Amino acid sequence: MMVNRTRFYLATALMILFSFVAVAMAQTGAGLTTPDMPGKMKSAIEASLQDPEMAAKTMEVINPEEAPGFLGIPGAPDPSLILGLLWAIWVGWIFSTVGAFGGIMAGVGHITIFGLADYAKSFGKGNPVNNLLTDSIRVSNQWLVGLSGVISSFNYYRMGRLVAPLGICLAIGGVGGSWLIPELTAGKISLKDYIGFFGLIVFVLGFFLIYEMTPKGSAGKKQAKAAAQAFEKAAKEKSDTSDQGVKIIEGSWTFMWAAVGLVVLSALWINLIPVLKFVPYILCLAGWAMTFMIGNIRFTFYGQEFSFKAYVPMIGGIVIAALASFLGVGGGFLYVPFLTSVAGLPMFLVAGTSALCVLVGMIVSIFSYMVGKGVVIAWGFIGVELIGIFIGSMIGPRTSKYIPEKVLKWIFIILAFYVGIRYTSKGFLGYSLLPPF
Amino acid sequence: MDSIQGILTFIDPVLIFPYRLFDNPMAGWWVGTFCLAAWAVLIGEITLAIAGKINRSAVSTNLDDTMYYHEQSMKAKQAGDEKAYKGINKLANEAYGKSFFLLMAMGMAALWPAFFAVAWLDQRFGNIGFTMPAWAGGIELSFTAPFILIYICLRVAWSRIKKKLKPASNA
Repeated sequence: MMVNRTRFYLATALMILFSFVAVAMAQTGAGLTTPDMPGKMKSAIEASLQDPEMAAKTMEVINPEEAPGFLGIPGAPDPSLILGLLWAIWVGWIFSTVGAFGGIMAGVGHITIFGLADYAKSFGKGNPVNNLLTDSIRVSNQWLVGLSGVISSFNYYRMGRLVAPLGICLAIGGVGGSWLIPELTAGKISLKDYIGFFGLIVFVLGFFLIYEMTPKGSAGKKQAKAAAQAFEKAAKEKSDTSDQGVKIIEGSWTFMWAAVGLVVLSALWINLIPVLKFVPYILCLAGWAMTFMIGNIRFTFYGQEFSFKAYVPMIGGIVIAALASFLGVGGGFLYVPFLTSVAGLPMFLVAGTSALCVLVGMIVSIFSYMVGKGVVIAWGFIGVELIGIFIGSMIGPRTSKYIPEKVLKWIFIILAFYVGIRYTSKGFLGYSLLPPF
Repeated sequence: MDSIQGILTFIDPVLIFPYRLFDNPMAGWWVGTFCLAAWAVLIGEITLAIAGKINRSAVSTNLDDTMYYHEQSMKAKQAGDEKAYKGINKLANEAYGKSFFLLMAMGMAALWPAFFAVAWLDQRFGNIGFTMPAWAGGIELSFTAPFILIYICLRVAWSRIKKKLKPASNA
């Protein structure tokens, strides 16, 4: 895309100016009007006052004399814009150097850096205010990390590099998984459990990174590189891309669309229709059961034949979407290994299909939270974070030239273990084994 | 958060102006929200253009690596060497992962004005709910629904116009 020089410089100058204005304004917060507290937050506070035990906690934590902070609660932490911006620059930098760890880091910011988790926890387990804040943190993560799958999905589909049936089967599991989990946990799961599970996932990620660094893990990579060089010399096949797209040669579309229809209907029902709550569960289970009738799906790509059983990605989709939605992360880091190792797909198909799955799961999950559960979001704050990610994503490619990949990997292993141990212990033991305690 | 409030107050006169063009509140609401979405798309596109320009070489280097490993993995598959195919395919995924997340971060950058727009809407019209007609279930949508709908339509329309203007470009 060509942008003429003058416009480019002007726009850059505007962006920088805007960032400075944002930062300058952050330092002169006094005297500015504060927004009214969102209605949902008011209801949560009122609900907590109905129970004598919770009411005592709520009155102890909220001091009406203090200035309104996060979501307009008097005395709540008020994450500074500068901190939000700097943290997001760091997240953007991770996105553009290592990749999948970015979503996890965004979560760490929302949980710890801005002091929101400890504040939410101070309301006590089961308190509606605590639950509303927890859901807000989860959804903020999702908004921050899962909104751009759409661009890549469309591009890949146009290039014939998206296995539609595979994406659909994953989505059949994913759509159900991403409404069922919010439905079963929203407002019920306290921040303490959430932090514990979040830590556990980061921990597992750390072990994967370590394995890749071991001689066994890296030997595979060396062999693969050597094999790639060997195949480089192989005769080049005809490079007519028209023959290289995905061609489906076996698979029941009828059952597939019917199953999709059922799970989408179940997601819509649970969010929009307040009666007969058991119906969406039946619809969702029926959609999942129908996937077993689709049977085998075979397709060719680059003239090579691939095949999979329809229910395998469906079950994978349930597990991945449930996890992603529960933790408020995109799930991209789970789809890629699943599609590569379990489904054995070539890279281009993995990329396109996982982008589509992240997108579908994200839309349904956010929709479930926003419409069904009425989660409150600090919109402006996320806007500032997105500017930070934008800046960070431009710094990343420039610094990665000077930092060897091994060093980067070690940085993230240490980070993953620190975050993992700290959060798991804080969530499940009630105190952190690592500083800050 | 006060500072965000300050920003929103600062841009308020520009954003509220189209809402007051018509006496009919419904017409004013739709025209105003359309203009708000148009601002969000325009500023987002400019951000994306800057990011694309600055990161072009990084993205293309990663994509070249990806293409190379992808080609070799398909050759391995054609030769029937399943082990080599799996290994090289993993390398291709790794190379692609780098550019994917870089592109994803850039894609997110294009969305930042939309969040400010919703923050402003929340402040101005946060208590408004849209009740759907009885035949559509009579459900109440939040104030964000019309904005999100218009924003998505404008983004799609703009990408089509962009393609018509520059058929060769794939940015």
